[in-house]
Amino acid sequence: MLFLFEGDTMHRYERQRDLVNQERLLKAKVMIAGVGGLGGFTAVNLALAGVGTLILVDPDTVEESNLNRQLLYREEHIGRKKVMVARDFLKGVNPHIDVLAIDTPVENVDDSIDFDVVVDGLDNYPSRIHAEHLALSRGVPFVFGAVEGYMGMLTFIDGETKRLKHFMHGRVSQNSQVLAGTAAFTASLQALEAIKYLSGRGDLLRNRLLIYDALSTNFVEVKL
Amino acid sequence: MKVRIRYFGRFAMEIGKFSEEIEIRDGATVRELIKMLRERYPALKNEEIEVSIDGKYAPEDMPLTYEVSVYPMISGG
Repeated sequence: MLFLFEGDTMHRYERQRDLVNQERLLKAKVMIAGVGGLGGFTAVNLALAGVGTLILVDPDTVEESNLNRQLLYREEHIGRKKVMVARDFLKGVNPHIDVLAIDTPVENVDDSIDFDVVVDGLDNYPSRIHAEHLALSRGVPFVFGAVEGYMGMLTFIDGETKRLKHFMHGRVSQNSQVLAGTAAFTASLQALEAIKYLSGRGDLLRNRLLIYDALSTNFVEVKL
Repeated sequence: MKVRIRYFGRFAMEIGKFSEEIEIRDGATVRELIKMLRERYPALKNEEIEVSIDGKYAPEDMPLTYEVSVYPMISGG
């Protein structure tokens, strides 16, 4: 593709040339459902990698309590819409990509919005179930991730894998304690799943729930 | 039988340990383990407890083996 080699973009992606399918990444549209801790770090990873279009979906405004872990926001952004601030930040990270900011809950995403993958940056299960359905109903995968405290988990869900309802049993408690490092680590792995999928590389976390606890530095992979 | 349990996330923080070896009757199932943990640790009494055995999700009727992981489902983002 000619556009790959125009201007600065050839050099920009030179150090990942052998690792990804850059042409596919540049053409790809990735929806990030929720741009808080997880979604913010996912978005930065995908912007750096050169994913051509990022679609940010989040109705929230920046709050002071976000600032311990949400990389995209500063004190001067408190009270502003997250997706708008995030769009500006990401365009600064990589001005060659398109960033679409959608200021609504994922439940209200318009049918006209087109995407190739949905990455989970949400903070509750009802919205995750909806985002998963949104992805699978369009025939695209959903990269689940969740964090709490020093712990994180993720898996790659598509039309042939187990879904959230198959491994989320009963009530899921919410604990608001979370660290930037946990969000960054989990989100980086989620972003890598999206990059691998779009590039046609590697072994995806299909039917495998990866769980870690950074406090004890224990990892477990649960076959679903 | 002896069972070595690894605790993840808030479960480890709530009970103050990352792992332990316990004694339970031979042939005990995941259901019995969960019941025992809820009785032993009040902090887990009202928790949904998930278990994996040998790297696989373990339903409640699955017999225990020596190595077991116990974790909460989490929802933060």
